[in-house]
Formats: sequence, structure tokens, C-alpha cells
Amino acid sequence: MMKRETISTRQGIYIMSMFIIGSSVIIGVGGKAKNDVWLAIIIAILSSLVVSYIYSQILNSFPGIDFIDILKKLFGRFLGRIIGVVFVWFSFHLGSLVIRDFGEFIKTVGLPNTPNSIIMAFAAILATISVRSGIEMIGRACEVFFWLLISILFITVPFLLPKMEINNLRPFLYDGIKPVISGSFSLFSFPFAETVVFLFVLPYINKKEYYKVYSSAILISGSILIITSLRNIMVIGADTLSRNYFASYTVVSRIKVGDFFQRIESFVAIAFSFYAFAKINVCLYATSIGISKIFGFDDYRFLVTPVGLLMLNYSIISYENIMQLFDWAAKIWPYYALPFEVIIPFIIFIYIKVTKK
Amino acid sequence: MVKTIKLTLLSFIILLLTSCWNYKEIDKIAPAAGVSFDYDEKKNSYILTVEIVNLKNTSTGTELLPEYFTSEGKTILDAIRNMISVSGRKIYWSHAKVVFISEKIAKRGIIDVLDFIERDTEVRTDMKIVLVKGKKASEIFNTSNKLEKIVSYHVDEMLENSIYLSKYPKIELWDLINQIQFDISTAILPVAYIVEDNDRKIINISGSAIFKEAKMIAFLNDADTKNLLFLRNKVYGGILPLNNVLGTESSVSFEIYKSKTKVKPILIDNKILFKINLSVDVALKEVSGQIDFIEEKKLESLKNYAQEKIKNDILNTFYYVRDTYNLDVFGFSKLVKINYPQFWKNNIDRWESLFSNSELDIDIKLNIIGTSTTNKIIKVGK
Repeated sequence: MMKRETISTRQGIYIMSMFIIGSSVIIGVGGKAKNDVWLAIIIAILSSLVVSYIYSQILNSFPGIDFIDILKKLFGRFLGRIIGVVFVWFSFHLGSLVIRDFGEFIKTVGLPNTPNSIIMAFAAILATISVRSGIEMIGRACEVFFWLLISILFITVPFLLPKMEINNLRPFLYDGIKPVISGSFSLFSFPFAETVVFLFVLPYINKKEYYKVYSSAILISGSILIITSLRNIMVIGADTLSRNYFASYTVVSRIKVGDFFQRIESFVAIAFSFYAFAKINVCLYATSIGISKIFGFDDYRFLVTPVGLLMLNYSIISYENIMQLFDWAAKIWPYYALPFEVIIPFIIFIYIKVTKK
Repeated sequence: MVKTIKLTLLSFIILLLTSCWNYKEIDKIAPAAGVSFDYDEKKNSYILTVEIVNLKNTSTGTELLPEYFTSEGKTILDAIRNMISVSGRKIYWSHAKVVFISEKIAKRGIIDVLDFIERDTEVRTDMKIVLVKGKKASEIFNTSNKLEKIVSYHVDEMLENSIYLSKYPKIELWDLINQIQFDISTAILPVAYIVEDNDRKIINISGSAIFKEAKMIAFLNDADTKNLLFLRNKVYGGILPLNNVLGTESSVSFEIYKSKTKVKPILIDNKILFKINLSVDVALKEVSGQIDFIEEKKLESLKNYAQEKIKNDILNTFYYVRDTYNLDVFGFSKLVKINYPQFWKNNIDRWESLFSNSELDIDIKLNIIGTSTTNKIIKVGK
């Protein structure tokens, strides 16, 4: 057995925050809630705090042991593996979705003539290299990138202040509470509860503070999402926002100070590249480590390259175009993700509570 | 040894695989400065004229010279791509500043044009939109002036400097789209006139065109447009000229430094009263005639006179637009929605009758903050 890698709690928080902010800061979130989206985000934060408590309780039942091994201990070697496969599939699918998002974004805003697969291949190859270097490397990278990204975010907000129109936030709850609830539901499944993937990662933090990582990451990234969506609504209004694929990009392209400080929307593209880096890395790491544990291998590294390539392939073949991708992500994903994010973890949690007594 | 090979290969990659797939040399692209949209009913096609910036090296340095190309197409993008057959180069849109729309397209509806320019990734949403009065929008490029050879940049300057004039609006693409998207779809655009000046043609931007559901219905003159801008809280400067003040021979001019309009809709038994709080900071910049208005008492009466005058002008414009077009170009409907969401939801269908019965109440406060550099008038000696 090789030396077990560990990351600090703080690195765990950074990785998870970047994971949650991930694509959601680029792609408009909670579109149905329109100008009450901030309320939808708050509701989603509260509900994901509850769900993440379940996740951390699962890990706490056998602290420091891999998720698949926990499943094996709880349900026996066969059933444990079956449940493990379900989660491995989820993180695999999520990873390929993020790769595709990234490819579509770069294609739409920056490189329209470059084949999508080239851009996505670079993202996947980079993720393969970094996951092969281990979780410690990802942790250290995110520790640096996180602050870079925060500063990019807080550069854009002051420059947009003159263009903000507070009336865009009103009237409050014009269409009633229903769109807010449905918006918060889709926000909950994307991005907050996607953190279920961290069941594979968190056993590697050096202190066993699972819930601390979950709660602080959700609060940090939630407040960043609130700030960005408030910014977006106040600048371009909820109607225009809901028509845009890449809301933040459109909003930041409005920054213009004199004739010299303008066209800084590539900052957003850079930021998204880093967020996507973190998210793809986590998904790829979770998938590889999951597969290696299911088959009982000592090391996951030799699996990273094939899994990465598979992820890339799947991301290319799964959707035909951007309309299909966004339609699927908006309409089907919340329901598709629900079993992985809530139902199965909840069953496991109940099982633990019942059997441990 | 292995390290050296690795390094060499890496540096090859860095040098050879630089950035984009669709690599373009800067001298091979044709940056557009502005574009005009016309429509031909007989052929059912769009006619686009693009103004391209051409860099030319002269003895005194580089000069920006305009170059025009016209093309036709079944749709707008078709027309844009057809441009290649006359220009030879693909047009690069990121630096385009102004879009000129012909009166004919405005009357047919401007959604076609807006959709294309908003959807395209190269086009930026802060382009300014101008309506050209007359037969063809492309005629705007036949004008000439000595200050700026590129017509689009010239118009861009006119629009940017409208803050010192406030007689026509400056409307950017995103703003126009937001206006059209609202529940009660209205919009305004600045209007460019092509006028003869000695033996050349020049552009004169003045007044505005008003739109209902993305179709133009009327023009407003510059005085009405100014009052409209007051009500929309979009006045940043400009002059308030007053003739025959208080029945005397004197004329005075105020320059506006700051203007703030607060509109509050009030519901009184299913009738809407718009309460306007207008606060304007002005300086007395010109006094003609022999009455010294700078004296305290006279200044007070001048102020009251001016307040009354502005108030009446604004009221006249409001009632004129309300009675003639029954169109809320002032952006009041949005405020009703924000302040009375429940009422709005129930009464959105009868908004037209509501608006036609609405009243305006103006509370105006004119602050005279200075008289520029002199404190007395020029007295004519006897």
C-alpha cells in the first residue's frame, strides 16, 4: 500500500467552492425565478446544508475510509459494489457534462471555427495530467486559483456599479412563490447537491471535519452566486438574462470605462477555465478512485487516462448541439440527478442510523 | 539529454501551435465602423451598407479612411455574407459603433434587425441605434464633414455628446431591447436628418422616433424630446432658454448641470396619478437686455417664472403624447408594475384606457447654483 495522500480542510473548502461555483457562474442559474433568483439561491443553500449533513454523516460512520469501502462494509461486498457503480456513473456523467459546457462556451464566445472536440480534448488532457499527479496537487492548485478568481469577481462588480439599476429587482415575488421554489429546486440539483461527488474525495482530508468542509464551501460559494446573480440582474435585467446562454459573459462585456478599459470579458472566460478545471478534476478523480476501489486495485492512477478519454468521448457523443445540451440540463437534469443526490444517500443514511443502534 | 529533447519539443509546441484555429492577420480583416439597414419591398430583401475603416499610411502618419460596400440578401446574415462578393474580405463586427435603421424598416418592425445583431457574438450590445429619416438609411454615408471622415464615428460623437444638449436620446442596443421586451412595449430612438448645407450634405440629429410594439408610429420634435427625457430622468445637461422673461424684452439662458427626476405613481380610485419630483441644478449663463436679474428679488421671480415655464412645457408634452398616441414612452408603466404588482397583474389588459386617463403632477425645484464668471449684466452706456 502506498502512502495515503491527504489535503487540508482548507484546501477541501477551496476545491469544493470552486466546484460549486463551477459552471453555474457562467451559465445562468435558477432562470425560472427571474428577478427573485437571490431568494431561490438562499432556499437552495439552506436545503443543501441539510442534504450535505447526510453526506457527512455517511462519511462519519467510518471516518477516513473510502466511500466505496464504506458501502462494502455496510451492504456487503456485492451490493456495496452495485451502489458504488451508481455513484461512479454519476460523477462520470457530471464530468463529461462539464467538459461539454466548457467546450460550448469557448466555441460560442471565443473560437467559433475551432472544432469543439479540440477544446474539450485539451480540457480533458489537462485534467488527466493533474489527477494523475494526485489530490494533493489539485488541492494546492485550487488554493492559488481560488483567490485569483475571487479577485476577478470583485474587480467586475465595482466597474458595473454605474450600470446597475436597482429597479430591475422589483417587483418582488411578482409571479408568486412558485417559480422561486422551482428555481431553487434546479439550483439545488445544479450545482449545490452535485457535491455528492465529494463523498469520494473527502476521505482524503487530514482532519475528519466533513461537515465543516461542506457547510463552509456551500456558504462561500452560495454567497458568491448571490453576488453574481444580483449583479447580472441589476445590470441587464431578468428578461434579457433568461435569453442568454452565458449570462456573466454578456454582463461583463458591458464594462466600459472611457475608451481604454473595456472588453474585459475574457477575464470571465479565464475564470471559467479555472472553475471548469476544478470541477472536471474532481469528477475525474472521483470516477477513477471509485472504479479502482470497486475492483479492489491498490492505485487509481493507471485508470485516469482511460477514464479521462472515455469522459471526453461521452461528452462529444451525448449531445448534438448547444440547444439540446441546455434544454436537457434545464429540464431533465434536476430529476435525473435527484436519485443520486438525495434518494440513495438518504437511504444509506437511514440504513446507517438503523443498523448502528 | 531527455530533458533537452523535451524542452525542444515543448518550445516547438509553443511556437507552432499559437492560439486560434481560424487565424486571421490584422491587415486581412475589414473592421466595420457602422452599418445601415434598408429594405426593398419589391424584391423582399434587405440591403445593407457597411462602412469599413481602412488604414492608410500617409506621409503624416496613419489615416483612417472610410470605404463603403453595399449588398443584398434574403435575410440579414445572407446580406452580410454576400458582402464578401463585393468587399473581398469578411467583415469584422466587434468595433462597429452605430447601426442606422431606415424609416421603412422602422415602420415594418425592427425585431429582425435587433435579433441578428444581438445574437451574433462579434457584435457588441453597446452599439448605438439611430433611425434615419428619409428614403434610404444608406444615404447617411453620402454626407461629409471635415472633422471626422468616418461617418459612423461622427455620429457616435454626436450621440456621446448629447449629454450637453439633451435634445435627442442616446439609445444602446441592450437598452432598446429591454424597452421592447417590457409588458407594455414602447421604445424611443434618436432620429438623424440629412440636410443640405451649401453644396454638401450633413447629418443633423434631432428629436426622436417613438415605437409601439417594435414598430415606429411617430416622430417627436426636439422640444418634446427634451421634455420626454426629463420625464425619463435622462437629462444630463443642456440649455434652458427663456425669451421675453416676465413680459420684458430680456432673454436669459440657464445651463443645466444636474437633473434628477423621481416619478411616483399613485392610484386614486382606479385612476393613476404620476407624481413627478423634478430637481434641476442650473447656472445663469446668459442675460440679454437691460434688467439685472442677478439681484436677489428679481432672481427669485425669474426662478419662479422659469419653474412655471418648464413645468408647463413638460405637461404639454405629456398630454400631447398621451392624447395623440396614447403611448407610454416615458417608462411609467414599469413603475406602476413595480409599485403596484397586484394591480398591474389585474389591469394589464386595460392599460391603454388607464393611461389615457392618467394625470401628471409636477413638483419642480430649480436650484440656481451660480451665474458663471460675472455678477452683473453689461450695461449699455447712455
